Amino acid sequence: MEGKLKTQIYGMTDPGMVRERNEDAVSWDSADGWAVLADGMGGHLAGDVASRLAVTTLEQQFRGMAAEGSTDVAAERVAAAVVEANRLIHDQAEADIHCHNMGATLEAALFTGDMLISAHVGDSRLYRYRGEELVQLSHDHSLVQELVDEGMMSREEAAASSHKNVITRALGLEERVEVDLMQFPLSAGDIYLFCSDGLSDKLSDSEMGAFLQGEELMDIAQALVNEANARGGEDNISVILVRIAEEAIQG
Amino acid sequence: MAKLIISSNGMNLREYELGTERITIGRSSGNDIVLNEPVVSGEHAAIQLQHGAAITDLGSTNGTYVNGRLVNKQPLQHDDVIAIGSHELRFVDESVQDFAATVILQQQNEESAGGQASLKIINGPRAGEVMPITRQRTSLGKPGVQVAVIMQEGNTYQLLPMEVGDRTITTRLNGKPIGNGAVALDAGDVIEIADVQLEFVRQ
Repeated sequence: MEGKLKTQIYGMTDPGMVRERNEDAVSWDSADGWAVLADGMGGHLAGDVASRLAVTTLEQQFRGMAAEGSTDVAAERVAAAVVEANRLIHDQAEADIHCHNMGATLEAALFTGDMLISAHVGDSRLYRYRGEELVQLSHDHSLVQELVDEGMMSREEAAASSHKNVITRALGLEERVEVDLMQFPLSAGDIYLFCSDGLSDKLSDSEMGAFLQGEELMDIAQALVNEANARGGEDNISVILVRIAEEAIQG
Repeated sequence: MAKLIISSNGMNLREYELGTERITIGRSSGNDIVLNEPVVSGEHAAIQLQHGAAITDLGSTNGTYVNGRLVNKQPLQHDDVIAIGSHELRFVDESVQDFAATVILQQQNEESAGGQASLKIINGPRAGEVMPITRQRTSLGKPGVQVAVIMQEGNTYQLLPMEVGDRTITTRLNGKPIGNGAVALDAGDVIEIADVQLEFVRQ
């Protein structure tokens, strides 16, 4: 008998070793099955304003969403939620001089039935760990990624570049934002990793994958953050882990 | 080295390299940085660079703001944003530039890109060929050897060298090697990358 899939989620965000402020924000709900991560930037004190606006907007839109409707309906609502977050950040950036030019990356996902619906803007990442292999599902909206796509840079050169943090898209910069919306089928045993560049700049994909063999999501998340901090922790570090498990069937 | 990146309405206008001398900012033409708008006073503010960078308001009518706060005299730190009238001057201290900080490239409408600049090949078999710059970001060079990107923002173009290959040879602008950061391109500049010389042409 195939059981219904359920999600276990744990996330954390850490200012890192150098920065006084944390401009990342995370939120999730295991019962509803959604997770949101944003990395804010710009303005002077406004990076955290942008990321918190992104996360709270998506929170409000996602609450209770997974339970109802088809996958396509849910996907439309995810898209609408991102458009709304973009509008709110952009409006505040225009209205408040302290928030001028603020923006945020976004990695958001809704787990509905047997599908993952994700929304992605910027260089935060979504990975899937399945069969001991970690695969990046999101495509960075960054200058170095564009050069990799054009064949002008290798992945290794991109990862080592001092310009790797130049991003080409963010929520809130313009009235409209182009969002990558994707759907992936879920499988029991999958672990999904959401992270900000404070983690992915410090650990390679295979290094992150090695941590995901651990048992408790809380311990894995803490170990990833600790490792990024041990390697300098120059940026804020955020991680959300989502484990897909089969619901126990009552006999 | 420190510089000011001067922008207005979110558009970068130009960069001003700061030396060690005190500079003044204002509306009258005698200033080092002239901001031509009515709300800027004739002599509005001054920046001193000895004993730590600092900005002083010179009794302007409409005030000088640093990171949104009205100031009289204020030390400047890397990434501080000075606002005078509708202009913003971002203070960049290249010695402490934070390479972990995310930078967003401003997006713009596709139709505004292109048509204003091109690259003319100077040497080699393709000498004389002219390639219009039609995108916000145009990559140049040769993978594994030397790569740079020309970034267009509004009416300004910048050349940003990327680290590829063995990096013992550097991209040159008008015969001089350029460092790690972006440099502004002016009409007639000659870029030398992966043995190809290109002239930057403005229409």
